[in-house]
Amino acid sequence: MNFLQRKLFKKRDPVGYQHWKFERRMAGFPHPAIDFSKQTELHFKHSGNAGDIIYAVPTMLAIAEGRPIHLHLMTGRPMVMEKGMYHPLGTVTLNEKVAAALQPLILSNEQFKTCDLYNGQHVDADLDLFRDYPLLYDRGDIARYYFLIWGVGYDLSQPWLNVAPDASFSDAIVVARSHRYRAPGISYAFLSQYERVVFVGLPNEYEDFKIAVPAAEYKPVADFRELASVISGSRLFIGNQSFPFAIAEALKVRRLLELYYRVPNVVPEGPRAFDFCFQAPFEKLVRTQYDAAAQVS
Amino acid sequence: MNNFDEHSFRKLSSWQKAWLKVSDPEGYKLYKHNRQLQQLWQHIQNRPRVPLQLPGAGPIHFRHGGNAGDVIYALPALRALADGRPATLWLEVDRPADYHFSVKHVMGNVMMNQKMVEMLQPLLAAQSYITECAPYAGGKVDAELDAFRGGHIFLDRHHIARWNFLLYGINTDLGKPWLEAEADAALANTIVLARSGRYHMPGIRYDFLNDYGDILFVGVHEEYEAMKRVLPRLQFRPVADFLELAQVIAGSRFFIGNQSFPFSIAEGLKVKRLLEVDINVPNVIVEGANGYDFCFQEPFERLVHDLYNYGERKLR
Repeated sequence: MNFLQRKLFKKRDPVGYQHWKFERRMAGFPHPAIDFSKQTELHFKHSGNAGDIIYAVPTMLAIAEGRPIHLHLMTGRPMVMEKGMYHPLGTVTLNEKVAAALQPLILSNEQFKTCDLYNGQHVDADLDLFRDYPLLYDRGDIARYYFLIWGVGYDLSQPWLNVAPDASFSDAIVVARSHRYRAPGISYAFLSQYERVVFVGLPNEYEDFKIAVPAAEYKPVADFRELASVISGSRLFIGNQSFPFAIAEALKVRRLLELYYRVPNVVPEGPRAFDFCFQAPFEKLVRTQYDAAAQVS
Repeated sequence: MNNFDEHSFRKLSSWQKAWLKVSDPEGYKLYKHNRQLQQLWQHIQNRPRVPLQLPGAGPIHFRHGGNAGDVIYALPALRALADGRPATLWLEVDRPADYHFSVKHVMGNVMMNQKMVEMLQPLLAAQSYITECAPYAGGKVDAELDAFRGGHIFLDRHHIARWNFLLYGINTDLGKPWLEAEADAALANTIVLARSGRYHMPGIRYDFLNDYGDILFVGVHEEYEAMKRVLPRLQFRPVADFLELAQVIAGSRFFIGNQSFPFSIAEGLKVKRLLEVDINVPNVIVEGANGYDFCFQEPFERLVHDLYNYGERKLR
């Protein structure tokens, strides 16, 4: 098809056009091995982002089916990002510092025997392959992208990380809000009426958040296991589609997700999982879940 | 970009857009992004308002205008909003539909017709949390269950069952069943299959199912005829209503469907199920136990093999 034919096709049948593009990109694309019955231990590779690694854990657990897991993290993979978006890691999807911070969190799941840097080890499943497939990454469910490729399933309403809660945050609403993925018209200023609001994330994200909630505390962490214990110990966690929410989702704590309308590829699953993209339901959810958490404790 | 009151945006003419696209491709992308954001913001401001609280202890009247699958996916929201109070579900007949001209839908140009409502009624009325289900004939509606239409939510993505959650500020665990139907025990060894004309994943073939014995097709006859071309021994199971359809699906060895009405029933029942995902419009998300999805042939064939022989995906 020439340029004009493609334009016409797209106009006449937008879904058919996307399918045509998909088929063209899939032509000759070999599917990875999906038979793991011979292995006694499973080796996986992933190069980030950090949140994508957390969402890949259910797939690793499903493939391993009780067998020991070794995860090898590759750093320095170039990041491709949408125009107008900002990511704190800049030009790469994972660096040594983030990999080191991830390690204690991953190893908190006893099925993981290793979480180290990738330096050419043998791998049974290269989880980075999900980026090579012509899936549309602005939709669907990140955790399920891997299911689609390796043909597995996992009940995502069940936790897949387990970290001891830090009880010193049991009275706090813990919030994380990255610069990416903000729903239009959402304001956090009303959180000022709650007694204790704690922000986790990067210092510049905290400075931005403090404009709306001046009394918010900041909690820096040494690694992501500590971050998980803060989130796990919180009365209520609120986050947008960034790394801290991936942890909250894996822990299945009481949580609210700020959903970004164009890229809703994070799906909260399970009983205490809420999402919002309009202000009034957001305020209602904070009120009701803040109270519900008190009743449980 | 969050302070929309102060956000100024100048709409470009077609020629200006074309020139921007040629002279500054990155600027054009940003223009498109901002334009989309501005349009969304207008939709958000003009969206139909729904009540966040339903005070009192009396019955609640819900209304839905279809499609049928959307009605099924709205039931968790209905149950959460009713919260144990008597619930009446009114179904609105013949609401005009605005399908893209390339889309062929079994309902033609309406969201739901009288026949569809009559077929839905027995299934919906059989649910313990619904007191009554009837065609809408006037009366005060407490909560609209299809207020997600209008552009303030992108309907080609996210999760159909959660659209009402976003509007009402609610949640239920979608990993748990929300439909009940007595299983048709005669189908315990049968694969039940449905595939509508919409939402086909390119490259997915069903011919390998010829290796499996007992396969039953549910859906409209036209869809059956299309599938029979690749599965000559395929049997068709017509149903009197959707309660019977739910009983067929509930009784099956496992169910395979694409993003059409029968899959919404399988998802509501939480039976063993495989979903053919259209990655272009992945607004159906499999949740909970026994659920798998596929969009590539090899995993599809492996999943069918394992579910047929072992009852689950076998990895070791």
